[in-house]
Amino acid sequence: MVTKEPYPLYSACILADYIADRIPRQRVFLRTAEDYARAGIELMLARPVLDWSPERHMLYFDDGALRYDRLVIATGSRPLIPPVPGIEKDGFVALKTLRDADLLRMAHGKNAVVVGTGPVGIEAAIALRHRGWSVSVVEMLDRVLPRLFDLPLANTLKNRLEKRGINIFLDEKVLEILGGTRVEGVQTDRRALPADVVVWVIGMRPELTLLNEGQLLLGASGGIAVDRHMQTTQEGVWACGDCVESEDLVSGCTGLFMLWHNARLQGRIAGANAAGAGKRYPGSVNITTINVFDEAAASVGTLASEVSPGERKVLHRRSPWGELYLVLKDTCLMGVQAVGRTERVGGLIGIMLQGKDLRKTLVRASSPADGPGLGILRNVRKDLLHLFG
Amino acid sequence: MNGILVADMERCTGCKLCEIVCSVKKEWVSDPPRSRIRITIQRGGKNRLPTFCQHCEEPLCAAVCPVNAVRKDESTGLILLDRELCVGCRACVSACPLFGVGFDSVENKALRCDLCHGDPACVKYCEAGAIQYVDRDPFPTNKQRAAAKKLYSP
Ligand SMILES: Cc1cc2nc3c(=O)[nH]c(=O)nc-3n(C[C@H](O)[C@H](O)[C@H](O)COP(=O)(O)OP(=O)(O)OC[C@H]3O[C@@H](n4cnc5c(N)ncnc54)[C@H](O)[C@@H]3O)c2cc1C
Repeated sequence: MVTKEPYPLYSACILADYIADRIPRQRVFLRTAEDYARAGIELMLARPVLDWSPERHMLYFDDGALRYDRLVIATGSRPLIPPVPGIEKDGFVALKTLRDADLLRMAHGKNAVVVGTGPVGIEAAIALRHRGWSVSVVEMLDRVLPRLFDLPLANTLKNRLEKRGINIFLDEKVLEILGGTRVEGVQTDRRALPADVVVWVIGMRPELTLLNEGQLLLGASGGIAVDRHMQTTQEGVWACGDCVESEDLVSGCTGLFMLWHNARLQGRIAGANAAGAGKRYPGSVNITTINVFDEAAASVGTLASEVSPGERKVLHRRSPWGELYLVLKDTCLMGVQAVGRTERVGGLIGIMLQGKDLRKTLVRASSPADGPGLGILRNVRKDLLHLFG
Repeated sequence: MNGILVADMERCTGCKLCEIVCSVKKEWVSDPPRSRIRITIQRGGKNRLPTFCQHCEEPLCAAVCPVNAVRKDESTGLILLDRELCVGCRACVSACPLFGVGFDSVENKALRCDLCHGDPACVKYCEAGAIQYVDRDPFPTNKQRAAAKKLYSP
């Protein structure tokens, strides 16, 4: 196993907890070098692969090469960084790796600007706030967490962030990172914000620099195209994780679903199949949970803004323990968003995956196999039937 | 130990004594929100649904755990939570299709039924007989678990 990382496996998902001092550094590691040795895996750390020859079955380093019979490409993703002036300055951090988290922990100053309000950006903003920074967040779109929540719940979460002292600037585009050799500020199309550190997290792209033109077929989303067995278009080459595109179990759409659980299951399947098994990947589950200070929020499936207006229906419910937002395409449940009591999101996964006409589901007798999902819907039955007309 | 809990919605009266018993046994304090079994009341009291970990074959909760704190014990088949490793991200809470995972907001960690190592206290105290501890295989009574299995298996 070859990686350019200097460390064995760690979990990117808890880097924010480490930045916030909620866990010690050693806790982010999920495996030790000895674990690999015990499993009979030769682990080659800090070894960037610079080139690949599928014809020769070779990988090339700056000082050597490696021959393989079968290859699993799991190069993951890298932060999307457009050519904004000033990104080379000290104090500019595109958060992805443990090293980036270390940099943020070592940073000195008072003002932090986080660019991008995806889950990584929001978690970073909260972590820096915990460390005592004065934090501003800039987002180009009209809401925070724009790929997880539609406006109503995004607004609830925005208010919560603001109440805890995080400044949020929506509908603003970053034009330049200001300063000399060090970051001193961020210039947007509306204002200049002072900054001693800039955290850049506007999204991830598949890491494909290893591939030369035409070596592997890529999908429309820009990820490596693989079949159900995670096999690429090259004989003897599998791919998995953030660098591949996959099918969403709920919507059936093909795209990039760059989440930990999808990557891990794909990895298991690609590895097993490279060793001769015939395992199939069931598809990706687009579920994300985020903790906004002491409130949990979660989202699964498709957003209302992604459904065509003619077919779109939404149901928004507020209750003492939180909010629930259902996204429907005609009479079919396509997405669930919740603030508080996030188990309601999982509870509706089964109903979403069945993809059935909710009108029928609502009138038939319940069975124990329904689990708690049907009860959630029956709670809002009147409103749903009203929506369906 | 090869059992599993099954709940009977029809019999459950919604008294929630099981929640108290569970929290006392596991946390040494009567604190129902920290119970590993929860009675979900839906539809204005018409549905009373006892929920707890069903120890699925291919658990989505274990898949989404970012720190490998949710693991299958190979000898018993139980899905167990390592509370030391848990960082309280609640990914498992949101992902379970069956309301199977609770959350302890005092310790900031997930809560998962471990069947009291084969002697579940909730069963003993449920006067309505709504919670039973039955043989795990085969589990024809347990349709919920079967449904969860179908959701997400490679
Ligand atoms: C801060 C942060 C928080 C996150 N939080 C969550 C979360 O809460 N929940 C969730 O589901 N997901 C989360 N994610 C996403 C999740 O971490 C990714 O989906 C997952 O890490 C993907 O795994 P991967 O192995 O495919 O790719 P990566 O983790 O990107 O790993 C790819 C590896 O390949 C190596 N590599 C790449 N190119 C080369 C080369 N040419 N030579 C040698 N080595 C190479 C890289 O160094 C890296 O080690 C988070 C991501 C980040 C950055």
